[in-house]
Amino acid sequence: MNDRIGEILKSVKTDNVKAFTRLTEQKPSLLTLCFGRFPVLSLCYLYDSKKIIGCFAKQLLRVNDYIVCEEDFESYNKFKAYAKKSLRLFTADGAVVSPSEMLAVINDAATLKKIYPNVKTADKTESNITKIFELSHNRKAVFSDNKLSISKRRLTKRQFISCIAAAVLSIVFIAFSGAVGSIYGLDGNRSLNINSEAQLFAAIEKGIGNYTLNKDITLSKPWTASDFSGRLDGDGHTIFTNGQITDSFIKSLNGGVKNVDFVFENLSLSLTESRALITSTNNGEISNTNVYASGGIDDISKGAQAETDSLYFAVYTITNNGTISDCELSLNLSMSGDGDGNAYLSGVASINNGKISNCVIGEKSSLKTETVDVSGIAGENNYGATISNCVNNAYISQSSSHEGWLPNAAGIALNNGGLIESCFNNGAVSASSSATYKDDNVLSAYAGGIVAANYSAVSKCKNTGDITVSTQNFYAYAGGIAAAEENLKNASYAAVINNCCSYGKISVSSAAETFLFAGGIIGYCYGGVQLSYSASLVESTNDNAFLGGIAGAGYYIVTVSTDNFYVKQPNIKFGFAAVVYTNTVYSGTDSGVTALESSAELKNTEVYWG
Amino acid sequence: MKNKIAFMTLIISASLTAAFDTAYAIFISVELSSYYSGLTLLSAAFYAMSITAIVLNCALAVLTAVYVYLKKQ
Repeated sequence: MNDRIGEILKSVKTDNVKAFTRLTEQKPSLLTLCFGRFPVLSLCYLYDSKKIIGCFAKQLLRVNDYIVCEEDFESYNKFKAYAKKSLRLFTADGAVVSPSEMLAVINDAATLKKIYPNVKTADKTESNITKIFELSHNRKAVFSDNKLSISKRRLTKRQFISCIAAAVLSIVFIAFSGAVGSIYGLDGNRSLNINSEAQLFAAIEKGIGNYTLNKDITLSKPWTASDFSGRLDGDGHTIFTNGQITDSFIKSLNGGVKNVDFVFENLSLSLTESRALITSTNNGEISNTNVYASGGIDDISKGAQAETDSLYFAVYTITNNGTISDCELSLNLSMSGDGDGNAYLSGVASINNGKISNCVIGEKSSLKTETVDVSGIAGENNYGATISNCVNNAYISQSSSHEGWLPNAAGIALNNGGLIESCFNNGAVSASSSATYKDDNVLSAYAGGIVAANYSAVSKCKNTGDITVSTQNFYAYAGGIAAAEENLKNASYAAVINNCCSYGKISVSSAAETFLFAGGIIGYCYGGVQLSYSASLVESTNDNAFLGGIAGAGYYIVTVSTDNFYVKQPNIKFGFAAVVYTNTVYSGTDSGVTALESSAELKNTEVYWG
Repeated sequence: MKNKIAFMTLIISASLTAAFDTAYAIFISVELSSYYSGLTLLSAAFYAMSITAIVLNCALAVLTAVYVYLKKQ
């Protein structure tokens, strides 16, 4: 093998296109070389010399007559490894492995199909190609109309088994993990079932996620409240707190709780700070819940809260910034205060900044306090907040013997700075003080069917409960809707009672000769009242009591009364029993008020709605 | 050589995935038995493992499909 032939073989093996070009330019006949059975292009395919093939394939394909030189042993071995059983096709003397056959040997069907129409083939070539594919690669090659079609490769048994195993493995586990994901909420929407106290605790402690109670849960260990931003669906099941919740069920609720019943039985709490049973602060949504609560609460704060805050106790929440709706409460609670600081007991929320709607305190319920202001639904209903469609059927009462304490009691809210609409009070509400004020420090007691003090809007509310205030020598204010109403200084809104009505008995009494104000709608009116009517019996055992069909007293000029009605009673002379102006009490008035002979006439008025 | 590398890649990937899947199946069994016996809720690892299992097995399926496709050409 001379040097050039050796160099050209080396350049093919190393795909050195520069050397190959230089050599073939110097001597073009080198392109016609055939190393034993292997023409140059066949060797290029064997050694995968892409660069040389790219530049010289066309020229090399045109070569038909070869200059045969010595066969390269290394190339033979490489060819033998590829050819396997096909080797026998090329053992005859003078046999040549054409480029097409070489492509068949190395199983490069794609290139073969590409070049096949452009090459002249020897007689045996087509049959050789067919045999090579069949013997070496288990593929079928078919020639027709100068076209070559080759069946796709078949995988070896080992490859086939491996691929099947990998495919089965991946498909099974994709299906399995996908099923796990869809069942247990990989998308974050699916709700996890809670079957035990431990899971309930874990869910609340985790603070996020969606959960559904799968069964009733009875707590057996002391409960620690956590903030909760997830959603808990009780699915109608009950959480029996079993005396284990001494703080609240949830610290701050930013998510939702619905369809849960809570039982807080035989409570015995001594409070040094405000507390609610379900959540301290509700920023989320509580809906469709029932609560049964019974027991006693003591305010033992000794006024520690008084300088910065008041002490509140409520069943649902201390501060409601969200929504509480569709709740039913069955309550038998008592609470006592020490009178050193303000203390409040409320059925739903102590302070309402959000919305409370469709909440009902059931019949046979009671909220009884001693020196603690008490209301059925909320303590403070602040500006912008709403209480609507709520009903109180509970007996609500407060008594106090503290000489510095002004007892307040109301069916719905103690103080209203927001909107109360379509609420009913059917329970008896009473406030009494057995204390005596001393010197000129005049104190009062207040009881209202809907609110104790109204500073904003009360609309379409009804009272059928008996409202009672009794004192030793405190002033007394009682009204079917509000004990007192007043326009706040610098407020952008006015105090108005609109289209409300009362049917319950309103009574005030005192052991001493003092100011007593009672009205079918309002005790003392320093704001507006309109389109309202009363069929309440307004009475007192004191002859000096101011008893009005609509209000015990109205303030001169400030009070605006329009289109109000009451049913006449022998002891009532005016719609407003007295008019007050600069601390002087004058005779009453019927301004904006019509006295009717009977309840039947009331039904004929335009303002009547039920 | 290329064929061998491709095949070995497939085999190694399948083996690693199978090992992970076995661990995942055991972990899921423990988690679910604990969950259904009411001891705990499902942990964050439960979700992380499930997602990883889906991703890994999808990758293996794709790898297998690509391997078969290339081998058939």
